[in-house]
Amino acid sequence: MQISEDRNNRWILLLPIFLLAGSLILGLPAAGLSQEKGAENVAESAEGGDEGFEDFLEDDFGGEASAGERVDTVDPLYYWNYAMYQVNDKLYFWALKPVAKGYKKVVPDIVRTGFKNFFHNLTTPVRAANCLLQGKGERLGNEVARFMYNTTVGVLGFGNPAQNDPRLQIEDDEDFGQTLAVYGIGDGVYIVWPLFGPSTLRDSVGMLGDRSLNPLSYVDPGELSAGISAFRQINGTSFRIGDYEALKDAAIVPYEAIRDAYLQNRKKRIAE
Amino acid sequence: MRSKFFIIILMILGLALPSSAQDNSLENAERPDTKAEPMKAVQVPIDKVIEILKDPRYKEEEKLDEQRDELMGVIKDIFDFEKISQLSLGRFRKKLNDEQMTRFIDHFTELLVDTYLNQVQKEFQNEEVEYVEQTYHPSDNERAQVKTLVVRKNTKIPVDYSLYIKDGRWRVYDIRVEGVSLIKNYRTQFEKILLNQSPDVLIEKLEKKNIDTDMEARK
Repeated sequence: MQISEDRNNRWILLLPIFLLAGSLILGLPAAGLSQEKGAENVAESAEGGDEGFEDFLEDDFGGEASAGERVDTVDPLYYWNYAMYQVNDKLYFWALKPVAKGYKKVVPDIVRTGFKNFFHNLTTPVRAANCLLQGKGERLGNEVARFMYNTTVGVLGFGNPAQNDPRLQIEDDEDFGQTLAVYGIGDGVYIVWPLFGPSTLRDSVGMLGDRSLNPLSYVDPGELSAGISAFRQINGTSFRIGDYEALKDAAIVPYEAIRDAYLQNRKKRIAE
Repeated sequence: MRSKFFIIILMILGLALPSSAQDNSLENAERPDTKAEPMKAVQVPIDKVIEILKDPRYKEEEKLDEQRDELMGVIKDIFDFEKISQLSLGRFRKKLNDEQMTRFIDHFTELLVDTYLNQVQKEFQNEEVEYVEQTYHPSDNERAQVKTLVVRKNTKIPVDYSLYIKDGRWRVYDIRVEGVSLIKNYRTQFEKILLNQSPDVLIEKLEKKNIDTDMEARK
């Protein structure tokens, strides 16, 4: 992760505000969190040495583990997280998976893909705003162009003609959690939310930020809004049945495997 | 920013390679050949895997074991499971004695091979693989990374292979799927166990997992 010095300093002023906001939302004592942030900095400086080549883990070939590695295992909310991991696991196997499976059986591919495209197109403001906040001009242009193209030629976004244009490819969806990270804010504690799954303190604040830009949040009444979100979740899951099982099957300690996969994946997406 | 960095690295490597190859010319008389193409070292076996998966000969249920054996041959040739096992243990490597290490490597290799083969045999959806780029380690030209994209219907999944030269050949010691490193992921799990428990507990867990997976497959 590359953070320029002065950027880091400027935004570090905002950190207490975000931590405070976060701790109010979560009802957590801020003291414990600032400690966590300290540990995070150690991790970053320890890993800063090998630039973009952290892919070749420094200690791969016989060396000692770096100090950063130790910090990765910090999980102060473990008992809450583990309980929520189990709740989500049951929710997936007992509710989400059977529903998504039945849905997949009944609804043709083309319709499911159409809804997936539609929701993706609809949430363009979230991604575009975060491109803007991260100063990613080219990607912002792509998002806007895709939105126009898919909304018109793609009929309100159900089609995705933009994907056939090599100039409009976007590999990564920007979100507010990534934006905060670019501004120098560390992960904070790892938190598992019921329904929403793995997150960190920073990404949870990010999720709330993104929600304010998601048109679906403004659907009235609230029950309808929640219903649409649930449908989106089921539709999305119908494309990913088997992925969670595969990850779990391969794991010896599934909780740790999922936690680590989440953190590693976020790190990559922030770097992009 | 990132891509610029890679281009610079490639340029530096492009300049630096011939001279360092000369330096090692006595030791590595045959290496420049194999060294030239880590991407090829990944592409040949992966394309072979896809070919086997698509092979109409294996369409029938009773041929699945045969297909599995053929796949296993390809996989074991390119992946260095011994290295993967050792790296997955991280700093706890030292807690294992030689006998434990041998057992650990055996069981962990079985777990990885089984999960991989179960996955590709059951879930293959005519994916295609795009080979994106190869990058050499900045300070060690016996290590490289090959980036690929697995194309599944309308999604592209980035899968990166980390390789090193062993006995004059490129072998894979890590895979990253969507940025998640296999060895790092297992390392956090193994650490969780080895922090408070003996290596034998870990080995038993692996053994039990493998038995369960076998039973599941035979159902």
